Amino acid sequence: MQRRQILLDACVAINLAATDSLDGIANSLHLAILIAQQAAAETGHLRDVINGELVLTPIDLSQFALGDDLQVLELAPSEFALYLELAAIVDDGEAATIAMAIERSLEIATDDRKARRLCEERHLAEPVRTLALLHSYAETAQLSDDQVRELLTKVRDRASFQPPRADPDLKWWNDHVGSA
Amino acid sequence: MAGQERPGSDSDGGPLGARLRTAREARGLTQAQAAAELQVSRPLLIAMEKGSRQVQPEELIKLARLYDRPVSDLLRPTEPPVAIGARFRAALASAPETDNLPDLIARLEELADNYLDLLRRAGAEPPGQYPPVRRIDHLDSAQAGEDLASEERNRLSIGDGPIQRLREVLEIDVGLRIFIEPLPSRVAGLFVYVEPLGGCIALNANHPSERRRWTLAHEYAHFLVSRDRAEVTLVTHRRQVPESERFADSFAANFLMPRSGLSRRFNELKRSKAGPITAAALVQLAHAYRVSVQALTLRLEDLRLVRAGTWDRLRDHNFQPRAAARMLGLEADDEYAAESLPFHYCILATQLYADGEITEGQLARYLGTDIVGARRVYQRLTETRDVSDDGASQIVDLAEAVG
Repeated sequence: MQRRQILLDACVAINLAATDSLDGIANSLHLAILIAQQAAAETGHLRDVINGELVLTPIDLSQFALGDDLQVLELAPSEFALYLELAAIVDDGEAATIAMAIERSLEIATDDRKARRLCEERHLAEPVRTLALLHSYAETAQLSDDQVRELLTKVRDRASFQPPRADPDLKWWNDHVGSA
Repeated sequence: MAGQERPGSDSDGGPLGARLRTAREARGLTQAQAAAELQVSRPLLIAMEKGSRQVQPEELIKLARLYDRPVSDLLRPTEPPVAIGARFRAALASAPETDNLPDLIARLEELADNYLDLLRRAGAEPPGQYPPVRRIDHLDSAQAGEDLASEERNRLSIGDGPIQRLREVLEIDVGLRIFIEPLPSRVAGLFVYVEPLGGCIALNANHPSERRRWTLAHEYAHFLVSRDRAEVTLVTHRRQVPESERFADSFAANFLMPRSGLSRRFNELKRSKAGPITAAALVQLAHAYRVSVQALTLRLEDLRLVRAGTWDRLRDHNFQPRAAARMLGLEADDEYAAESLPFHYCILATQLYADGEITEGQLARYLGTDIVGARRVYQRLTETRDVSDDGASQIVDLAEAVG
């Protein structure tokens, strides 16, 4: 069966990396996870607390790329002009992601309000959100409530993620980790 | 791409060419070196920077990589603020230990560029209403400093007590742009005035908060009397200092510790102790005014409230103000530790993000951090914990529109 291709922006990639279950998510949901090289370069660090100290943990997507759970994509020369057009509006990572999605007809995953609006303006399909992916994963993998709580707590604490109020899975999130 | 320059368009040259040139120079590359890397002739690169030759998309992407700049920065539709960098460069030229000067200038220039870009995106003007430049050239420096500090306190309606939020007052009420950056160790701070940003002050992030507070008041004095000359404040122990520095120090002492308020508090403290003033009392008073014990004691000496030479005697007895403050439970409340960027700058960035006008990646770039760092700053600046009707903790998003 063909895997569903999904192109992550930096923000969703950070959230999924924070779960430490990116490979499990890809396998359970039968996803081929893709990311533009410019977006991968923007992922930065997670925040971990070790022995009471805040520690910056680099997000190393190459480990997933080696395991074929994730593929880092380069822009093609034919995509350069559109990329630059979009880079005048959004950051390089979002510009590369949206340019690739348009040129290669790929599905995008982003929570970013500005990026989602730009996708709509460019007539792309509605992007999938972090919580939609995690909710699907939790159901498909039949995670227990404790496991879901642990998964979401990692996203909240390590990636400092707070879902936007417009997120359809906000209640599911709040039911498991609350708003604190 | 309405209103934007784009590579290959006829209107290239202005902002894009200038930004390419600035980015190359900041990277320390000659035109010949950049041209060689790009595999074009030097005249062709010069033509790109002048705007007489269109920059092709693949060339711009290569140059951005070569200059280590996001292409989105190079595509900003305004000229880079090179004049601001030049003013900072001129101000710092006289400073010692200038090994990292190019990096520092580039950082200050980038911050100014970001600030102007945020203002453009928000359609906003820099805040504040500047007072007219004061003339003090016919006055004694120390007296001029005291008189002007008193006038400014009256103008800003801050009475004669300690100023709790000095940075906020000077940024919001006066309209100064205050940046806190690691400067060469002997540079306490610097002031430049440059349109369209106005008065910009940089304070040394490596100095203690009390020292930065003094420097801020000192630079403010320069701003009040001169807008056309950049000023660098060096850490110095010289007895002979220029008149302009004597004036600025007098202003700082009087602005932070006004004669009337400090005398009143000191006498109240003396009465309550019913005995001689102790070192602990000096530490308490310094903490109240958020100045160093040294600055406080020297000010009390000037006001003849303690004997001349008190500070020298304390120092000779190896008095450790920080250890004493810790023993008394008076840790410094560092009002500058949280943000190296001006409040208004941070507010503009977070509000633009809250309104969906910039992406999370752009917010991170403006705040000089990564995306998770930007999320943390955003949450700190925009959320407040409250209690809902059922008693549960809830977060209120302060950036959310209410009307």
